[in-house]
Amino acid sequence: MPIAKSTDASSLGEILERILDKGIVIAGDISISLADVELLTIKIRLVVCSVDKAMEIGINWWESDPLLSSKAKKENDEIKKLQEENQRLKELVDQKLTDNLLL
Amino acid sequence: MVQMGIYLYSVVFSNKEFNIDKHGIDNENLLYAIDSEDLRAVVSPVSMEEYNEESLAIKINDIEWLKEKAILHSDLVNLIFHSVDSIIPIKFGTIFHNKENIINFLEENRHSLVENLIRLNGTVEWSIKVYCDLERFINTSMLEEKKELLSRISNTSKGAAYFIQKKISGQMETMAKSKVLSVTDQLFNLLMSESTGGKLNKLLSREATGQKFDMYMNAVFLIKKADIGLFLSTVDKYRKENIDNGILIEQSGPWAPYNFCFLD
Repeated sequence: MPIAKSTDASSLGEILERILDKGIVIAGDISISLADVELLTIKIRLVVCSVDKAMEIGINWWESDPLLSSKAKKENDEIKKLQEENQRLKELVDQKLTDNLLL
Repeated sequence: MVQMGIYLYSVVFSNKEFNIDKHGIDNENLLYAIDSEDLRAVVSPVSMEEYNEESLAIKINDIEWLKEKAILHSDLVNLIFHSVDSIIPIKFGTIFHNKENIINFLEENRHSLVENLIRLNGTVEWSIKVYCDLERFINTSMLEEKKELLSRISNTSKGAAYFIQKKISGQMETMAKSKVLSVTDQLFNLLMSESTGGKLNKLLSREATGQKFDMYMNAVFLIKKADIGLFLSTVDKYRKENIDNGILIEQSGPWAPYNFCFLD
């Protein structure tokens, strides 16, 4: 199985791993300091940026992540809307039932 | 009149004339040197409008901006790295308000900076990462173990066989992982003996690497320039030995010694 030795994602990854995380740690007057979580998020987003290459090797998990895909976000929003409507209708039905019982 | 700050790329010795003619991270202003006796800060002017604390915190979430600047920073450090015998690479986004502050930084950390530069003289850093297609590894390197486990289900009923099969899959996976790790341990120890130093870093997830398979080793090594040939041929040898079993050995370098400088 042919595996790409050096994808765009991996060379960019090597760069980020070094310049964002390593090198001598000093406090300049201004320094970018990133928590582990932020760092990981950035790395992932930069990998996702090299989408074409990733798709080639079968990675497309971001398509269902609402934070990363507008399509997924749209679906997520629609689901939310339906849930709200469902809740509203449920309340309506309950109210009607209650009204019927009181009659 | 836009206020300018000073972006720091690396610290080097000042024994050679500074002759790098390149634009800095803002693509506008040239790199230059600020010397304090034998120590040199390699820097470039940046606009404080774009490079202040608040602005940077926002910009770092702009993927296109970050990608461009990260590559620029890395390329510039690399350029400096190849023009000197010893370099201390600085983290991305380290900025000073003025020249006095840079000189203060050099003087306050003189002892440590000099120690690092002396220790890192004539060295480079290489990254060795190992990934594994576990399924392939199981199917090529665990045939004995597979046979042995499967023989246990030959005399059981169909129903029981199903559950035992599941259990066996789990056991195979666990055994495979541990076998892969013993290969990486062996590789790490061998490469340690052929370098000045080595370090294991956190394993990166598939999302962070964009790789199809899990990472089993994330190592960096500090190597004297003269020893690079032997080091890489050892890596190559391991790569060839594992070419069919799903173990992937990726190397990248030479890098400036990002992983091997320490400030007390």
